[in-house]
Amino acid sequence: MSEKQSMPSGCILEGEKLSAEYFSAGKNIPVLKEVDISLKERECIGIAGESGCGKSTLALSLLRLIDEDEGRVFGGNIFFREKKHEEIINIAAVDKHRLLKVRGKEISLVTQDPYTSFNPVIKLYRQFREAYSVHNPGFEEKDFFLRVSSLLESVNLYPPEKILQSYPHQLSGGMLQRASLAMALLNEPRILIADEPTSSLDVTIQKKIMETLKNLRSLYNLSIIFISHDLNLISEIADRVYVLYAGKVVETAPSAEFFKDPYHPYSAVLLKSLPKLGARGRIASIPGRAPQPGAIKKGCAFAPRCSYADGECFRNEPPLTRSGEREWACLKGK
Amino acid sequence: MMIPVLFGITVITFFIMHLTPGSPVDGLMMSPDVDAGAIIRLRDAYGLDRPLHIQYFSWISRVATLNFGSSFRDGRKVTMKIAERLPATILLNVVSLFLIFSLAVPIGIISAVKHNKAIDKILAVCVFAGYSVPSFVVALILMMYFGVELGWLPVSGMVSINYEFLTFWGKVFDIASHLILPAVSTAIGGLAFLSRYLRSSMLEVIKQDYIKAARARGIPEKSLVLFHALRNAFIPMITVFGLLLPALIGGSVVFETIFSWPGMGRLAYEAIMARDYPVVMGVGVIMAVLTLIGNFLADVGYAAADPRIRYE
Repeated sequence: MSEKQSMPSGCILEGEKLSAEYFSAGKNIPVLKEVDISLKERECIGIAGESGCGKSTLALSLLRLIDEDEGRVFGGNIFFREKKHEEIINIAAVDKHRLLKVRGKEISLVTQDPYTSFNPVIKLYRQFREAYSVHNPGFEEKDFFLRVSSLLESVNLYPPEKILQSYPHQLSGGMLQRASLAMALLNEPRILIADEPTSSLDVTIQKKIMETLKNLRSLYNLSIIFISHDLNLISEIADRVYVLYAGKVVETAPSAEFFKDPYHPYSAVLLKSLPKLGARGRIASIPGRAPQPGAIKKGCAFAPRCSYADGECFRNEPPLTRSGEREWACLKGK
Repeated sequence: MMIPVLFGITVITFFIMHLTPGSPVDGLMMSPDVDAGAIIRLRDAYGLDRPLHIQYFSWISRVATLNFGSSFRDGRKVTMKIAERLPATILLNVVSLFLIFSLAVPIGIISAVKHNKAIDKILAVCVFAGYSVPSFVVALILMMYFGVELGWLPVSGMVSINYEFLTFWGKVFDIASHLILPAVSTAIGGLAFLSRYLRSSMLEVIKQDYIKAARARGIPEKSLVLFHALRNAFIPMITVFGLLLPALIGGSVVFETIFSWPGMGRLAYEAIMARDYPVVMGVGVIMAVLTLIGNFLADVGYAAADPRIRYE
């Protein structure tokens, strides 16, 4: 693991050549292959891709949350600029003690299913208080309560006293997802990783959660990594887009350009398959199924489903091409 | 719900006891001094010549007024006989339950946290050995070694002969030393069962998303295991505890007999051997009540531990 003294200015998180694999029945299943991502201060990046492309694994690896006996992240670096000293640390290499100070304090995570983000048999008050106390030793009860109530109000949960005295099962899914957003921001992190924060909620609630998220972003100057399979949601919030396919980044672009003119054929069909208001006829779909990461050993992983693919695509793995702020991995694209 | 269950238990106990070959007057029949007329008069006096269901109804109507009758053997009241034996059984079971919990919980946690590592495998072998060997064999081995070979601990009874002459602390120490072997023998089976159960329950909980979510908040591993996971892993343990309590009360027949512990179990054993119906039935009712209380406590504990099943 290398040490790094400097990062591009404005950049607070940089994942470099992140690879991950899961252990299953004695075999190692690769999930991420040398993924590079970067996040600037106050930026929101969207990570798009079908299920199984490694989106959630990426979220977990950034905080080293993959269980040791389930899988591992290897070979890469995760550089992070700390809040206090502007010091750069490598999350992939720090000791456990230091890691605990990053989790929840510098980088927070909101997961897909709000019903499983709180311990079901402990009142919310105690769970909030615990999360506050680990990062604020010797805190005043008054400060804690002020912090929690202002957060709960900013996610539209009233009244704080009543919410805090509830058990998780007494709240609805939407309320719980708001509570977990409040929980994630409890210790003023700089980065929020939102892993499909709305996909288990129904559409009207989804809309409200997105509003809340945008509101929180400007209120607390957050940098956000927004992970979703839904390009509509990504277009709503993200400044830049990463498209993941079979564990690899196939395209990176600023949102405005990406949604106007995607370079990678996979991104293009993904955009085409979005339902549009007023459009008639069948929604376009991508033929075939997304391969397991690592299932395709040779050539471009998307080639079997790509209408532009020829012999070359099946033989050679496309390198990332760079042009300005855009990157794409295709032998046929621009 | 508890009343019909209790009623059913008394019916079954009563009929099984009376279906068992032999009767309370068998011992007398062997004696050359007793003539046939005396035996018939005795049967008549106890009501043993009447049909079974009549006998049952006369018994249950007496029990309904909390009158359990008197022993056929020494004529003393059944309630008296039970009252003097109950404390010894409760003492033995409380101590062995305490042993079970204070050992099974750490063993369960350690094997779950270090699962599939050397320490987990060593604990598993020990625990399975304790579980597989019949506990009366373990009891006899312990008795042999600590009682006879080493002579450290007394092997039978609850007090020594000179008990009456000891000081207060001397008495406490005397009972404690008599308690060790029976309590350890009683605890071994339950210990093995409970620690394995807690291990698998912990392993399941540790994989849950809310543990991962708590970990993502920067909560240290120690509080994840000891607070978040244990709190949830304990919920199914309460049910197991409810099942374990009657097993301990039932199991005491074996261990109290082996160690001549003056408790309910030995009273029941002696009464069964002598076909002392009123005592057997009295002990049966008490055991059934204790079992039902155990189940009831488990239900209460379950509701206390899991807010999701509480009545709102």
